[in-house]
Parts: sequence; structure tokens; C-alpha cells
Amino acid sequence: MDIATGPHPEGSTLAALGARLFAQPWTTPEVLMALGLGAILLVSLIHFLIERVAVGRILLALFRRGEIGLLAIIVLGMMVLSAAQVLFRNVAGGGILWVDPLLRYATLWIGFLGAAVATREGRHIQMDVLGRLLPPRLRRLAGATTHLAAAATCLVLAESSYRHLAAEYTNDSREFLQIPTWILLGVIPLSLALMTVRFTGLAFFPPPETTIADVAPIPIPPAEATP
Amino acid sequence: MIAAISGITLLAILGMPVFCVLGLVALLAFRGAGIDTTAVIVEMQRLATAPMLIAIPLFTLAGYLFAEAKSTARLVRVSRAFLGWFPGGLALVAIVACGLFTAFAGSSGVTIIAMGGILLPALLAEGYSERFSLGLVTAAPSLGILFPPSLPVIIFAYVAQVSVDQLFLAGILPGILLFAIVALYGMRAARGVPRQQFTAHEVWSAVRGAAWELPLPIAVLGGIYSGVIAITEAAAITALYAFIVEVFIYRDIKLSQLPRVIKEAMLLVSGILIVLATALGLTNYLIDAEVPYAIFDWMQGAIQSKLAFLLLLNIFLLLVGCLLDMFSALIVAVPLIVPIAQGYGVDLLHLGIIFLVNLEIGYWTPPVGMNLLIASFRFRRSVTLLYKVSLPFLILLLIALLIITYVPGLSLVLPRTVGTAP
Repeated sequence: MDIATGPHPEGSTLAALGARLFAQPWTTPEVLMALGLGAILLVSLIHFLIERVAVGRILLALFRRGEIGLLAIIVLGMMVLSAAQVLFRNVAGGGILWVDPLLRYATLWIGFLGAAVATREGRHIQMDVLGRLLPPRLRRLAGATTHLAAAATCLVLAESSYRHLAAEYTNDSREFLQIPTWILLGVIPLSLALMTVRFTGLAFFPPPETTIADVAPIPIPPAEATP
Repeated sequence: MIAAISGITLLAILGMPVFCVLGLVALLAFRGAGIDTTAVIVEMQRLATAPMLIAIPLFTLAGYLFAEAKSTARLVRVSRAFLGWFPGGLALVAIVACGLFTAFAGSSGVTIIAMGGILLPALLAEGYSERFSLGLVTAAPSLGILFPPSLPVIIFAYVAQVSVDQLFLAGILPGILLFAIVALYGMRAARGVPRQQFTAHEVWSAVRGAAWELPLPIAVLGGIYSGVIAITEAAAITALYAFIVEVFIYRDIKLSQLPRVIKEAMLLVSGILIVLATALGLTNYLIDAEVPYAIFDWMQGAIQSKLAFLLLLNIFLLLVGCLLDMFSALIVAVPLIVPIAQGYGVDLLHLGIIFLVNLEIGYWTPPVGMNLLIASFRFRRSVTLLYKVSLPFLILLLIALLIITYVPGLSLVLPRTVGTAP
């Protein structure tokens, strides 16, 4: 693949820049990781400072609502479109061609967007056999360590996904309705970057201990007998 | 190598999110093999290539809408009108209502929370002992795991690449066995409990009260078993129908509650999907590296018979079920065990039923079974009391598990006779 002949000159410049950067002798993965971690730490610190200011808090709250709103719009849209597709397939004799891939990408978006929300709420699927048995101080240390490791993993994954998307961009690959692949997959690096910041935040500013009460999916109604 | 493995294992048991553990192992494995790490992302993208996965958010949305609405009370009332006059009637009601609810809600933990608050006081009021009642409302939700549109069945079918319709057919008889064993125990526990009268009037008014909801399970179960509707179509219809019925007809869920219900449902969905996304890369790498075949070769030296393998599998899965939640256990273990099981000549549909029943039992195996913790919180009883009260049910279900494991015909007779050849 010749980068220079791609249909997006600015994209190829970016990719070429990236390629040149990664060709430098000092850009070993370890150095890049350290640099990235530094950058993430800086972002987390800024995030922390923003939270000190009223306006910052409002902006963050709006952002969080936006996340959940987007999730809701996607899943409700899926609900309507998929039911309509069933109707078209069985009554009109054939479904709309672009609906099926759209629904599949919507599922991918729900997975990654939801994962970012789950990170903020500390509700990822995890084993917590040992964690529960440790004394509080060790437990906090373990929490910080696992969250930092999680942040580092997400960082490397985010970087990989960015490179993958940049390649999709320069190749100008398209999916249904001529939508560029990199837009459909855009949620992957965004969500991974967000999770990196959030895991870092959890490592340094752990939330109060969660109990099973917070994990339980539905609030308890008062116990009542059946009629 | 050994240092990395033990370090990652330590991080995992200390509570690093499962998807990060898998992602970390995948990154290291791919780098070790000299493959660019974008390959991990390419595998994640496969989430968007599987049509069956669309069913997961849709069914979960429907399940959470039902759980939040008063459909639980209506369901209990209908089953009570029909089954209440049997000896052990209310115990049967609990078993059937919880089972059906779990099939739709996708996880038995949700059922404990949504159903327990109605059933436990009712059981106690009718004179069932507290030990039995607590054990029943903790155990009964697990019984519906094999019936459509159960989420774990869909996930096993996707990961093991078997037909989901066939797997649902395979689950009918083992599912009935689970129900029957617990129902017999319930009838025995009900000695001395006064029986309820059967009145046509109560049946009529209970059915009328739930008139909008009753057609759905009949349509979904009937449609999937008969093969008339595909699983994704059933999911689409169920989600839209549940939404319209609970939000606009019964109006149990106000529009202002909707964002929270949707968020809770989508957190469950994304928890499964993100683990699936990172596991796809890792398991593919391990299969390319022929790791399962190496394990099979190694195991064949020690274990020759299929029965011994199945026994070992039972023990292994019970342990896994204690440590991991069902969805991540399925996603991680199934691709690795499928080639080994095939080596021993185990049918994949039978393997699926063993996996699902095993992992579901793991949910309430002491000391860390998730459902015991949820029940402890929900019913405000100590976890140790719940260990005790669920023990008889645990033993019964382990017996059922042994029968299911060593009588493959129970799982295989229906898909072989009714279903089309795979």
C-alpha cells in the first residue's frame, strides 16, 4: 500500500508523521508508554482540577449525561429499526440492506460506550475473591495497582486502535451507505482513551468503598405480599 | 514468561477488570509472536460482524423493563391462579415464575431482586419454613437458564458456533429435569401447608390483568422452538413490545425513569460485550498456536475415557463458576474447551448444556457465589445463613447435573429427532 497516493493527503501526512516518529531509535514502546502515561496523568490532573470548579463540574455532569443519552438513543434506535426490519422482511418481502450492518455497528458502539460508563462507576466484571479478604490498607494498594495496570492496558489498546483507524482512513475503506469505516469504528479509540483517563483517576482518587448495594441492578421496593 | 503470567494472575485475582486482563494477555501474546498490536483491534472489530449479537442488547432491554415494571407481581398472580391448588402450590409458583423470568431477564441475579420481594413474604405467610423459603427464592431463579430467550444460551451458541435453535431444543429436557427435581422437593416441604382453592374467577381476572404480557412468552418460546422466528427477530419484537406495553399501556415505567433503566441494562450488555471483544483476539491467538490441541494431547496421557473427562470438566467448571461470572467464563473457556471436548467425542450441544448448568450452579456455590451475596443483600439475611439454606438445593442440582452430564441422550434426543440435521 502506497501511503502517498491515498485519497486523503492530510491523512497520509499524519500517517507518514506517525511512521517517521515510530522509526526513531528512541521511540521504543517502553519510552512511548512512559510518555503516554505522563500525558494521561496530566489529563487526569486537569480533570481533577476541573472538578474543583463549579463550571467544570457542570461541564463534566453534562458530558456524563451525554454519554448515557447517546447510549439510550442508540439502543432505542436499534429497537425501532430492528422491529421495522422484521416487518419489512415478512410483509414487504425484503429488508432494507443497510439496516443489518447499522444494527451490528450499533451493538459495537453500545459495548464500548457502555464500557466507558462502567469504568466511571467501577462496575466492570471482575474477580474479587482476594480483594474482599484483604485488610483496608492493602485493599487500597491493590485497587491502585490494578487500576493503574488497567489504565496502561487501555492506553496501549487506544494507541493500537488509533493506528488501525488511521490506516482505515488512508485506505479510504467504506462500509454500508458509503460511510467511512474509521467513523463507524471511532468509538473504539475514544472509549479506550476515556477509560484510560478514568482508570487513572480511580487509581489516584479511589471512590468510597462500593458494596453489593451499589452493584445490585435494581433498587428494592418495600416487601409486599401478593394479592 | 513465568513472572509475567504470575503477575497477571495476581492482578486478576486482586480485581483488575476481566476485559483488561484479557487485553493485557492478548497484547503481550501478540507482541511476543511479533504480530503488530493492531491485530488485537482487528479482532475487537469482529463484534460488528456477528448478526446474532444484536439480540443481546435487545433482550436485555426487555428484561430490565419487565423487572422494573410490576410485571413480576402479575406473573406471580397468574401462575398462582393456575398452580396454586397443587400440593406445594406456591413453591411451584415460585419455581415456574422465577424460571420464566430468568429466561427473559438474562441473569438469575436480576430475578432474585425483582421476584424475591414478592415471593418470600408470600411463602412465609402460607406457612413454609423460613429455611425452605429463603433457599427456594435463592435457587429457583437459576432454573430458567436453559429456556429461550436465555442470554447465556445465545452466548454459548455464538462462541462455540453451534445453532442456537438446536441448543434451545437440547435444553428442554434437562431444563424440565431441573424444574422437576426442585418441584418434588418443594412438594415434600409443603406438607402441613394448607392448599389453596382453584377458582375459575381468579384465573380469569389474573389472566385479564396480565393480558398484554402473557402473549409474549408464548410467542417467543413457541416461535423459537418451532423455528418460525429467528433469535434476532424474536429479540427485536420482544424489545419493542416490552417497551410499548410497560411504558405506554401499563405505564409502570415513567419516561423520567427510562434513562436509568436503559443505563442499567446497557451496563450489563457492555460488560459482556467488552469482555467478548478482548477475548476474541486472545482465544484466536491461542487456537492458532494450537494450545487446546496441546492440552488435549497432554490430557490423553492421563485421561482416556470420555466419562472421566466429563467429571473433570464438571469440577473445573464449578471452580470457574465460583470465580468468574457466567458470561466471561463462557466467553473465555468455551473456545479453549471445545476442541478438547471434540477430541473426546463429546457432542457440542451436550457440552453446551453441561457448561450452562455447571456455571449457573457456580453462581450459588459458597463461598463467593454471586447469587448468595445478592440474596443476602436483598433479603437482609447473613451470607452464612444463605449457605445453609441453599445447601439442599445445591445438592439436588448437583445430582441433576450428574444426570445431565452422564446421560447425553437427555440433551440430544430432541435436537436429533425434532430439529433439522446440523
